[in-house]
Amino acid sequence: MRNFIAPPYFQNGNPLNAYGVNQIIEATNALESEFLDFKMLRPKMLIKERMRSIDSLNDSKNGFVLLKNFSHLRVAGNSTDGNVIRVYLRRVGKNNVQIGEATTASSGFDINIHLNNLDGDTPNAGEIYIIYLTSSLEDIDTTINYMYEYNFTPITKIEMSTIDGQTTIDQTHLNKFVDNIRQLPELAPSNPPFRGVGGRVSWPVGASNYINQFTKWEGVRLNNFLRMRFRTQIGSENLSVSFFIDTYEGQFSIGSFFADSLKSYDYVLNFTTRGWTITNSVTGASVGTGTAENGVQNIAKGTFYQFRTTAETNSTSSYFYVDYVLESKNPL
Amino acid sequence: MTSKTLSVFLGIDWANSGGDGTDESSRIEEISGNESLSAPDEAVFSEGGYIPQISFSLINTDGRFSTNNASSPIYNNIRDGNFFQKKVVVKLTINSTQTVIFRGSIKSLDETFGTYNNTNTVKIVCRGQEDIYKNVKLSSSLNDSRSNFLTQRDESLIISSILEGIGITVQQMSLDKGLFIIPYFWLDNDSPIEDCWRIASACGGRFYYNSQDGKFYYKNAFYYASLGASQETFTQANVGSAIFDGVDKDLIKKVRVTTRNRRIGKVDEIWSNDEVFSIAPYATKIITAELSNPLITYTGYEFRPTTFSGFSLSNVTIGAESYSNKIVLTIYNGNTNNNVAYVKELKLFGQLLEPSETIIYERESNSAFWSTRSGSEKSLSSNPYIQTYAQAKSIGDIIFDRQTKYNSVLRINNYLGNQFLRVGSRVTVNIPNRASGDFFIVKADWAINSSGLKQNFELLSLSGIYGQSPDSYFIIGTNKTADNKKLFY
Repeated sequence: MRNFIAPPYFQNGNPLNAYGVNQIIEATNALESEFLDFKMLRPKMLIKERMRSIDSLNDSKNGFVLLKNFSHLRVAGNSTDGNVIRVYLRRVGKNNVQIGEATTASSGFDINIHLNNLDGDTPNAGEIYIIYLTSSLEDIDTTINYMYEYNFTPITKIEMSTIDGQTTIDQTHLNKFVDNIRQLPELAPSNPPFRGVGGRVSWPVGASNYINQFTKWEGVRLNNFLRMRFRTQIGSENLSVSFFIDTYEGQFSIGSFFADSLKSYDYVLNFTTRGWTITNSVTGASVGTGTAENGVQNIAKGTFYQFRTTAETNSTSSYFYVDYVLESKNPL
Repeated sequence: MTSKTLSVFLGIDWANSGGDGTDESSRIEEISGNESLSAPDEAVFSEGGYIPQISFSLINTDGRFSTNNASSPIYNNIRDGNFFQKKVVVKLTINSTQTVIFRGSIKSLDETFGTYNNTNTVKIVCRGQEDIYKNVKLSSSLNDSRSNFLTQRDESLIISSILEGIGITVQQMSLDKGLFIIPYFWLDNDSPIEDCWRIASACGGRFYYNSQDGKFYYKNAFYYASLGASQETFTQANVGSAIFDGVDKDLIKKVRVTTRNRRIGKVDEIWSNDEVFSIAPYATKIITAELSNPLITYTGYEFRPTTFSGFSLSNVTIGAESYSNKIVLTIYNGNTNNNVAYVKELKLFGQLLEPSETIIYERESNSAFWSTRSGSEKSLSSNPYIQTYAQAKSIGDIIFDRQTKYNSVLRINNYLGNQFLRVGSRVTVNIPNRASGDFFIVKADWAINSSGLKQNFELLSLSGIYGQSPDSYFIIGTNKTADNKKLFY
């Protein structure tokens, strides 16, 4: 929504009033601050991804969380010619749907998607959704130079006729200013995705060559579901990943498993049933059995808690990346 | 003074035919009326308005207007209070020129029975159409409030929206283009007419019902500069008395305007109900959620329907109808197992329009006039339609220029000319060495009886109505950049 009050329309016969003129000036100043301020660069997301996996949503995925604000989504980057980049959208309670695709040419791809034109898959304003990217070629380096939402409502070029001392200033002339100001987007002009802080485990620690680096998230429970996306890369030794919830009542293990290959995982923790669920039928890992046995306490709404992971391996070439940890009202 | 011929037409639409109705002119004993820019004893430029009114006495020897007289030909139209709100029109013909001087509806009917001391008469009081709508209570829909916010409407468009809300058609309105943007608008069981008055006041304009053509008018703040040509010149020859009225009712030293700023809150819980209430199988319960602040977005609800023993219950649904300050919930228990539904932890979510910091614009006169006098302060602090500092400044400056300098007030009684003059009419006063110049009428009352037409007026000088003379402002569509004109407020 605009951060300025729009000027009123002018009408022949009315006086040219200071209020109306000042609203044009204030809107112009806001325009400069919002769009043209040279002192601060608006951030664009630059993500270098090794989209190492082939085109399968059950395999390695690259997920980005967005809050729907604008009508269009742009995904642009570089890859190897011929590599097909596909864009999938996932909403609460819905399956993944492909909403865009481009074949890399001249080392680049640029995908623009009209988010409001996806029939039943259009996210509602203010809704959280996830964008996944896949690559048709395996083990290909891909760089995502841009990913952001934007409004595809280009500002109409202002065409004002010149005036001289004998020009009668009429409503047509003045309302061109007003129209152009009123057509400005109502929100900040772009909306980059959110990507969680990535944790990485890749080197041996301790005398026993034992890795125990953990990443921790904390918050106050507001919703029923905690969703986590992470990726693993397995070196010469198995990678063991464990999950814990800490509350003032103590620490509770909620599961662990050995990653068995190069994989991405989506896990959803349902606070109300205290059970891990595995989305998207990810194969290979079996996590969550024993959750109840481990005695995880259901966390009351409004309670402070911490969520943490550890990853253990003897291999210096194993990796554990966390893409994001997201609490949501419904499972995404 | 030349003599003039007068005739009056009084039409009462007893049968609601939509026309002028039955001609009751022959029964008139006396007819009088009044209108004003503001309510009695209030300053000329006050926040309220004034509803024009007429009253007339009708001869009732044959019992035509007796509400209990079953033999009256209009008995069914007046019995049991049926006379209320019947349409009335009064037309005055002066020297063959006819003018509608009132359109309105019946407010009251008093019957005086014939006695040794009184004749049979009825006295009927009629008021302008805004009297009917003034007591209506209106709540704006969420869509209307949100649409206003998104489209950033001016005061004229908001007034139009309110009037449409009470069934007034566009053909029944005559609205100046607005000069100010009012970002946030809502009605919460409010009087539409009183809110139109408030909006007009917040924008320096005038909202009124024109009892001549039966339309609702909004005149913006430039109203007093565009009153048109003078319609009459008052001289010692055509008025019975002209009185200089030296009152300080509108005179102030300082003006203070408070903006009622708002901001849109985050999406959050906006209402919750801790009570547990039950709904029988296949029954519906309607609950009105009164909100603490106006609603700008409604996003949804949460609740927990259970059986008596606490098990979750399915097929309990909620429909919501959103208004600016309330959400009406229709909860239906469609559970197929004939369970009574116990609705718990009902919560609503959305965005409210929260009060923001107020900003005050104030300006005090330092003129020589006030250096030796104490002056009062005019404060506009409760008008919810002054929402931005820029608007507060414009309105404050208008009031400052208008009321921190003494402005001449004249009272004219027993005007004998051939014009029927109304509030807002521009007139000229020419009483040598006493009073002269352009004025406009702020109050008018009149009476027609066997002695003829008598009109009395209260006038305010036009010269002090704005900081500049009315013709010095830059008019859009008329003036050129080279013209030596000034910006209006």
